Amino acid sequence: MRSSWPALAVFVLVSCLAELILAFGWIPAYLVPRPSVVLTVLVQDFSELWGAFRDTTVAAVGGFVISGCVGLVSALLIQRFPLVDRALYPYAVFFQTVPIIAIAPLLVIWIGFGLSTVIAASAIVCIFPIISNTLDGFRSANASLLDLFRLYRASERDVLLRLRLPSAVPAIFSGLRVSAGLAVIGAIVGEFVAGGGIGGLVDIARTQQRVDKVFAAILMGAGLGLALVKAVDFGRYIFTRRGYNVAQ
Amino acid sequence: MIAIQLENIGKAFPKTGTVLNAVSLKVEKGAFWSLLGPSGSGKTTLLRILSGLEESDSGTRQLNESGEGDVAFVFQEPALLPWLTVEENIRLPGELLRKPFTSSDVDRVIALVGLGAARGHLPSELSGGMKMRVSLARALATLPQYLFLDEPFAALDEVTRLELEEELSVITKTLGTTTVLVTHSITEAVFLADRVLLLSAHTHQIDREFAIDEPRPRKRTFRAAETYTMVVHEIRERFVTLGSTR
Repeated sequence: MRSSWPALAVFVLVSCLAELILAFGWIPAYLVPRPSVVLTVLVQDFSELWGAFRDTTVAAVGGFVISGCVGLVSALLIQRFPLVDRALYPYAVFFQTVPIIAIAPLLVIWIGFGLSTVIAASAIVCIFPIISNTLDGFRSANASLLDLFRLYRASERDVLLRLRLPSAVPAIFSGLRVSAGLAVIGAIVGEFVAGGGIGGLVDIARTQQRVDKVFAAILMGAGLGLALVKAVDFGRYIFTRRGYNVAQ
Repeated sequence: MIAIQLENIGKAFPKTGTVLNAVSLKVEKGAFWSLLGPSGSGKTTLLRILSGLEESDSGTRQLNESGEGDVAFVFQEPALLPWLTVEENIRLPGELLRKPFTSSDVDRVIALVGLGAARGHLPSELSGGMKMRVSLARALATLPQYLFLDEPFAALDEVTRLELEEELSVITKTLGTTTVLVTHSITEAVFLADRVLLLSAHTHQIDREFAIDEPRPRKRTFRAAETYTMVVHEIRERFVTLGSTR
């Protein structure tokens, strides 16, 4: 896994630059708060921010795990049964193309306010990359290996579990990586309408003109997204060590 | 005894048109044949039809198979499962056929191709030559009656290639496997085979057959023999003529 110090250095550099620009008053403080002020808010309102962060984490991880499981099973069924492909895939594309901000109010009507709606919003946003990438992975199985399995009269199950699924591991992780970030976006958007979490906090802070608090909440949301992506990267790293992402 | 018989095999593909036109051949049990020819002459298609991986459009194919695992194929690339160790890759045919190999089966085939020290390694930890040995070991693990090889040594360096050719000559003779090899290398075809078939990309048929009257397995010294040099020269001359008639 790569070192993250260059990214940290850029973050510190940009923060220092922003601090200077804002200190000279080149950008009004009511539009963009000084990084030092955001840091103060992070410390002073930590318990409130931490509570929101925890709620969003539960929703985002919940949505991510559900979409991961449903996405993987859907891809398996689509790959195995062409009829399921024709029946389900258009809906997967539908979930990808319709903006979550348009669906979220409907989810509140159907499911109600609270965690379930936020998890559903998160899951809907991140399911398509998982299905799409997993399918691409299944279809990327080496042609010679498919011939080999056919030569030894392998069952459909063997082809799927011993060849197509392991061949799809790099693509599955690519899908999970994209979905990890989307899961947080979906959760926060869901919270805008269903309340609670970082989304709810941002919405309230916005109405109070607390730009500093909005920035602090955004930082925590970004941190959550980053942590999820890093968790997926760690999973990929474990599989990589076992040869799952080696070109065949 | 005839092991493989093809009668008037024809094959065409939508994009390339005819690749094989009324090809007939009879391979004797335990023989080693090589298929040579310019690109587009249908060598690989013929090999795939022989092995049963491809259906012909016309004609008949007879292969005296006695059971599952009788037919083995070695591809141009090693085609190993990257997430399995050398030993697990070799065990794969047995698991797919629901007839798992015993440890002694695996030991035997690993010793046969000289893979002893690498049995626990992943393919990514092996050289190109070693990967091809694993591929060969996997193909031989079922003790197949028929072995089909599609340019297996094409991507290897010269030294490894010569070494593996000599080993293949010994292994196929020892096991009595009926073997058909597709290759672009005239010297490889002549060194290994009892009979070399030259295919034409113009007529899509067998242009000429060359018999190599030298007992197998062949030793390195055969490459310096007059018979070898003469046949190689003869095939090369015909190959050049065939290429210019396209």
